[in-house]
Amino acid sequence: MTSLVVVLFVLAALPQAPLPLPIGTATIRGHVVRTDGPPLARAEVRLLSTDKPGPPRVAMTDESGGYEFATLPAGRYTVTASKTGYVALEFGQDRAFEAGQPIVLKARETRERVDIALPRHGAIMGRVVDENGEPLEGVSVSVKEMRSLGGRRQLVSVPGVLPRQTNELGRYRVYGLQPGDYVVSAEVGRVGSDDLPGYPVTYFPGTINPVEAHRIHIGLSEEVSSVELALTPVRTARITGRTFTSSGEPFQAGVQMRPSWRSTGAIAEAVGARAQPDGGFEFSNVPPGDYVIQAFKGAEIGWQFVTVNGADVTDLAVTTLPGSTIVGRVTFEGAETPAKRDLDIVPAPADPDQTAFFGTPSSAEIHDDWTFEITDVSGPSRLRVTRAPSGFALKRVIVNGLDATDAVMPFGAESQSVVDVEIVLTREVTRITGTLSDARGAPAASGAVIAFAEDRERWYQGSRFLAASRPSQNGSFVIAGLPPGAYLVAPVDRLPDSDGWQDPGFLGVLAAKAMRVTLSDGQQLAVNVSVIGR
Amino acid sequence: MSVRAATIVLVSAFVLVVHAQQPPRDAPHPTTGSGSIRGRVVAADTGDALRKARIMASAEGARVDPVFSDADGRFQFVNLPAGRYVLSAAKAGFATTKYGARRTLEQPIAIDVADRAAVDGVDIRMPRGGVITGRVVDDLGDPMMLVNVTAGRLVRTGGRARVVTAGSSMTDDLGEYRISGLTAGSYIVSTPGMAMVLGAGVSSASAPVFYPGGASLTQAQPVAVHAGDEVPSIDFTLTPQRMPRLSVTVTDANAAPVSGLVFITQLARTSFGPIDTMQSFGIEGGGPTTIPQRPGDWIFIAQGTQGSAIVPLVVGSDDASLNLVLSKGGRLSGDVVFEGANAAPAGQVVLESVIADLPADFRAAAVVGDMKRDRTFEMTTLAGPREFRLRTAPPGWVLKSLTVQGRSLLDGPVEFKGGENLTGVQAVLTNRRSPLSGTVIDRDKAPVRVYSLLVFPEDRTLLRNPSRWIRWVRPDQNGRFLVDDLLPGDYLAIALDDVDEAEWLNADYLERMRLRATRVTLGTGEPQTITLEIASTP
Repeated sequence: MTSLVVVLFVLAALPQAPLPLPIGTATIRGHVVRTDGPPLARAEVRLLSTDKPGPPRVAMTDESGGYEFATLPAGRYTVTASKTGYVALEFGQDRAFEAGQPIVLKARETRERVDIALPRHGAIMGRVVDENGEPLEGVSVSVKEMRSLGGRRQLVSVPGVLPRQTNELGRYRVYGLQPGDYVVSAEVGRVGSDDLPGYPVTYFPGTINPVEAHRIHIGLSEEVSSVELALTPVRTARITGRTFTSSGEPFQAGVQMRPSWRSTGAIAEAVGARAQPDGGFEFSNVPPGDYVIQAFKGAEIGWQFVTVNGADVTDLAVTTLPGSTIVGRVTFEGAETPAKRDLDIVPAPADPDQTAFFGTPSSAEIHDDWTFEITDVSGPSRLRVTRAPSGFALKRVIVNGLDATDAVMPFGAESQSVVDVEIVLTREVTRITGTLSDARGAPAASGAVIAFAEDRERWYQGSRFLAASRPSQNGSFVIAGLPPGAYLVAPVDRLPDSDGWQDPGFLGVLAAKAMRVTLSDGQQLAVNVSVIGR
Repeated sequence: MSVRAATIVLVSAFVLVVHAQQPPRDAPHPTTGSGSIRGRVVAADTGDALRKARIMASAEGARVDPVFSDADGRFQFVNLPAGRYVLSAAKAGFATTKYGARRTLEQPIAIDVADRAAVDGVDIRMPRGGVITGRVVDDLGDPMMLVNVTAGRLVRTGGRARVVTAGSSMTDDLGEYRISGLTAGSYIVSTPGMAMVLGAGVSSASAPVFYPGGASLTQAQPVAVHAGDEVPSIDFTLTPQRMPRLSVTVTDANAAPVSGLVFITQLARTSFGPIDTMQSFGIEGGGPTTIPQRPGDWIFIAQGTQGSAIVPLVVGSDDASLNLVLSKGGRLSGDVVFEGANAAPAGQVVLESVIADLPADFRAAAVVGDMKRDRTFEMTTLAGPREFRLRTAPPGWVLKSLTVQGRSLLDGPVEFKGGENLTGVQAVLTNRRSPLSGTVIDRDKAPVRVYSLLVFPEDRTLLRNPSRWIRWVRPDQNGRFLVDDLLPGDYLAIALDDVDEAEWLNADYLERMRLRATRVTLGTGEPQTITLEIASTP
């Protein structure tokens, strides 16, 4: 019996000769403690200059939690403390995701009491039992967050938080959690394995649909216990089938499957199938649900929907399409042609289920004469301009003489290629400007303003009719480039880095509190947006 | 020649091929048949049926898909080809149990399934698992996470003590671990050496700790675990130690420093498992390179373009130095003789050489010698202390002897320093082994179904090579034992109620058995059947 053991080991490297640090006369001293009081020894403290480039200085706290940085040049510094098991915080930072308080040092100054209190990471504990109430051992429990990526809800792993296995009592403890809202999932018997078959991936408190999962809120250093999951066995089924090219020949393809977005509203992880050279593939141990299967080989790709309800599915045919071509030209309405081709045209997928599971669509190849082509386009898509030359915005997309701006077009077969596309850009760009103020009327420095079309049909990923802007320090904001039409404008206190705000559910709630405006061609509109007191 | 300052290369991955020790491979088994095994899984203490236990069956390396017991604890394996099967059952809260084995290291009872036979009534009694739990903290009292705590049984082989891992658990953010599913017994609980960061750029390591706090196996106090019990507070405090420094140089046979990059792998000899007990680094220009060390019993394997070197070294708490002399390695060549056969039987013969005195499943720096059509074979690049064994042979053939000029190469480690050229080596393979089978009775001549049989050579010098000459055999479900893989010779056989799994490979333990054992001569040819009277455990 042969097994391959890959051994990973790291050796403490011999330190390199350190870069010489600038010498000065100032000192920073302080203590790192736990938020519940006791000093934190062997915590790492990093000092970083914000006005001069260079590597950070690093010190470790001693047994009393104390640290010191001496011989510092005058300047502006941030001090950050960290230790495994604790939330890293900067001096002056009260909550995660907020700014800390930089320290401005003068020559020969000694700043004392630069103290930082670190909260422990949170944890979630509980138990996993089977349908008889008996503990299940070796179940992989993961904690995930529901994020919006590309406008679609998706469960993503939390960085630094590892899945944990239940012990013989069925108990688990997932730790290392920052404050947030989490989904807990239990997995035993993955699709394709023969390990205790019959249990689907289950989300707390006991649903197989991630969108229905209850979120568990973890506050600072909070430990939530008794998060119990009861797994219910389901009749799992086997799916077998074959992949064919567009000309009907079977071939060996990469085949993957995931629960369909249409049924769950979220993008789930995909599992791969065992594919055979004759094009056959098999998925075993599949719980009931609606799925989409993707087959691809090179540029050929295709999707097939399948519903599983306990009975085996046999002879499923998945046919790939070679991809369509889009050929066209860019014209500039009422303006001279820009010098630089700062333009990206992309076929944006319109159906999350008929979109390549991995990778993103490639953008157009644009030539000196402003003609372009895009090859290997598959799945229903809209033609989008994701980047336009400065001062320009998309006015219209004309395909074969008809207005196809924001229209979903089917792609995949060669017969679905389009060769007469005109992308019209215009200098008449709308602008909404204004100030965001807080409940007291002062300019709000945090938060954001969202403008979205009144027409709900326009609330999709990558829509031109959705835009957001963060205000500058004086509260002023600009939203440029929205197409003419009726819009709702509303403030939010936090805009996440991803485009989660484009979720129709979120916008629906925001619509109730929004202000209504109308934009005509090239209109410049000034508004005042205030945050209603919380 | 100037010695360049050494640089340390960060090696990101090292592939180690691990082989389970196995007898020479026979012809592949048929994968399906019409035999069956049926039985029940119950709790050993109450007799209650256990549902959803996972039962696995394996026969001579071939595995069958696992089955799960139903609500009445019943299970069945069907479509089995004929063979001798070992069954193993697992369930949360219970100790994983092999049919017939009452303890972790006890040999199981094989189930003999004849062609198309149905074996019923195979009841597996699972004892409740014992648990050892505790907390690991550092010298400041702060929890240490991701420490892999292991519990194992002490086994002595030929004078060297080793711990065979029975269970392990990684500490969480509170420093807590929980090792469960243990059979009743005494366990050595230990933590490996752990890296500890004490300050910016200052790192240290703790030494391995054996509960309750010693640095070596001799200071360990076993923890007693009973079925179903939880033994709490088996805690550890890890203290950063000054890591002794080892200055390593690499030279060639003429004592000149070697040029180029040399990879060095360092393995622990009393190993708990590869991952915690290995490190690897590269040396340029022959060194010297100074490496911080964890104290222990190590083997250094160096490989460079000039050859290789394998050197054991015990690192204590003091700084030390090591010079590795690379050589092209020794060479060994000879031919294979098939005893009593006129023509060579069909099938490949492969001999192999591994580093001596490592756990049997370690195959680092293994060297193989394939037999060629003219029955000659050759092994080169042999370096360091070596053991030889047969890796592959036609079905039924085993290695009877491996000699060069009358000297046996199978009685203990053979040291190669490089440059040796042993020719005329003779590997004698034999298929003449007469199997020994039989039954056991008690003083009243009633049959005894459950027992252990120890068979060991009469010649005490052969005890230095336990895996070749000593066997611990359990009967099948009918009370019949079978010994079929020992070479012809004079042996002593004794049937016992129980065998001490920590000591059975030791000469002292076997010495106590001698007077009550029965002499048996294993010849060649005709199978033998005997009946033994069970001896009382001393």
